[in-house]
Amino acid sequence: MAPRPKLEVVHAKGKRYDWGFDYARPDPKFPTRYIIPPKGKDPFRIMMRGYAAMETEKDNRVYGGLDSDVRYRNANVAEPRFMEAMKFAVPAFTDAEYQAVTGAGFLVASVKNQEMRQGFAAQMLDEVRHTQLETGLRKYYLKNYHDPAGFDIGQIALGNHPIGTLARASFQPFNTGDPVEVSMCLNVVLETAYTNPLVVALPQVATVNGEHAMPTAFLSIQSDESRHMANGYGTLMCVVQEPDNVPFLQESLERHFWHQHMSMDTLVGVVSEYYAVNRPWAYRDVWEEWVVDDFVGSYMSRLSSFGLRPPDRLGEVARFVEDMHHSVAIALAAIWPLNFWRIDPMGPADYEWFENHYPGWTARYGGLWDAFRAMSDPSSGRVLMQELPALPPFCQVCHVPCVMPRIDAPETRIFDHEGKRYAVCSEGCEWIFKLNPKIYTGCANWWERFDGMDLADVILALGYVRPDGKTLMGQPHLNAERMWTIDDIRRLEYEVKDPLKA
Amino acid sequence: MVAETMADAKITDNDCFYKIEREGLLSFDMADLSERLGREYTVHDFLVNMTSYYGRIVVNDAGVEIHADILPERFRD
Repeated sequence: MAPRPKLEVVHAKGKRYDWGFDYARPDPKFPTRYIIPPKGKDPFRIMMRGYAAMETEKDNRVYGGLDSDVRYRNANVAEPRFMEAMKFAVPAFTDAEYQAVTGAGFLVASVKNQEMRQGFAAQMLDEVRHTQLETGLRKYYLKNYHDPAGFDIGQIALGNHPIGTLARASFQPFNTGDPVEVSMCLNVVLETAYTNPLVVALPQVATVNGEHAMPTAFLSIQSDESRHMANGYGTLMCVVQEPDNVPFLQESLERHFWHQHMSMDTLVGVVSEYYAVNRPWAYRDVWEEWVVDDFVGSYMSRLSSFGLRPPDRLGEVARFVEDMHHSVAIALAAIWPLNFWRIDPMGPADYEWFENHYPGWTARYGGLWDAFRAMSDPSSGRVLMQELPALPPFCQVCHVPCVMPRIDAPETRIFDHEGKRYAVCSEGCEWIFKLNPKIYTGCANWWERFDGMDLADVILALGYVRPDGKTLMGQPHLNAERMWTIDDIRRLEYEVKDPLKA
Repeated sequence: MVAETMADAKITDNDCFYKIEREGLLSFDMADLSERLGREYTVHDFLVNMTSYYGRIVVNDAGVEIHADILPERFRD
């Protein structure tokens, strides 16, 4: 048999079969302000012959792993505290994958370079694969975890959740706007800087908490993300060589780095520390390793010869990473009746871990967790959100609650724009809002939607009740007994009030 | 293989993955890996097992290289 032609030879030959754009009127969905040189490289030299073989093998491994997990009843061996996080975290991932399907398709149509298009075409197929894998993972949880309430409505529940809309806000830029900035957001910032904490480090937390299905699926997904990082690298290296592009790239990097930091550092920090019994590391250290050392140190800082700087707000991000996930974790606990998952109260071993890794944690957050735990039984007749002087507004840009970076010292900014009042959580989000307010003024603030309603009616409107029609999906504990019902909530006579209306 | 051919590489066991780091260059030769395994091991087999990376990657039939230098010749043409 004749030897198989070398990959690099076939790849080079394949590029000669490029086609022009004269068969269709060039009418991009969004125009670009960048000068895009007609050259670009895909470091993986992806060809369908290798792609199909790789993805087949990956799928065989993941679905084989799930079969094994079912046989060993792994979903009920894993720590329930961690499993509850999967009810909101996996739908958030799926939101990202789905937005990225259209994002990669948009890039295929926008980039007039055969080699780059081939990389983006593979990415589009990858994103479909990831959506399917995550849907399969959720079905596995739904069928095998002992308390599946919330897994059944995960995607719609996330879209309606007060903080769950963070996913839509974070991932919509994957397919909306200038094509180069779509790649900057999706490939360069999210996939290169943040998928490593999200899809590599977080599976380690799953593993040490006894959950093996999530690492099986997500480490397989990340092996595709490697190529997506390379798509971003190829795009960036192509456009950064044109000096007129550099100020636009810098602005894009600033915008997306701050926004993805707000959502991803919140998500990974909260899940890895507050939904874990066993913690292999402190999130601050993982952020330092993957985002600062690897993304900034080994990548962004080495582009200075082109005039591109690491993000100016890197120091601010570092300051926020110390505290923000602690603030959001307790905010999620405070609004627990509005969740579609359960929260295990932090206990003495958790307090000790937090104090050791974040000195001062007990003084700052311990009292709030004490109060949450004291009110976890329905007989208490109280919920933590009642005890707060006012509900925090949600950031109009990143959708996290305005308790940033510290719940006791938020840096919220409230301002009027074209006759309407808005809140943002930070200077960075205000800067992003003012870059292009039209992007951020289209959606209502979450509290505004339910202003004046009884909390029980809000929960019913969201559909966050179990099949008996009265027991809440969200619970402030993991006990099978003494679960809160809609009647318990109605007895509170708690009226939801939009904090921006006053 | 890493311990033998890249003795200065740092390998960390992270429970469900290994992180391999080295100054300058990580190089994985498929012919060498195939000989050690006693079966053909292609670059596509390698990429199924490689979860992530940072730096600049170069992929061809012979192997996978990950460079700390992120400005390659192939991007300068």
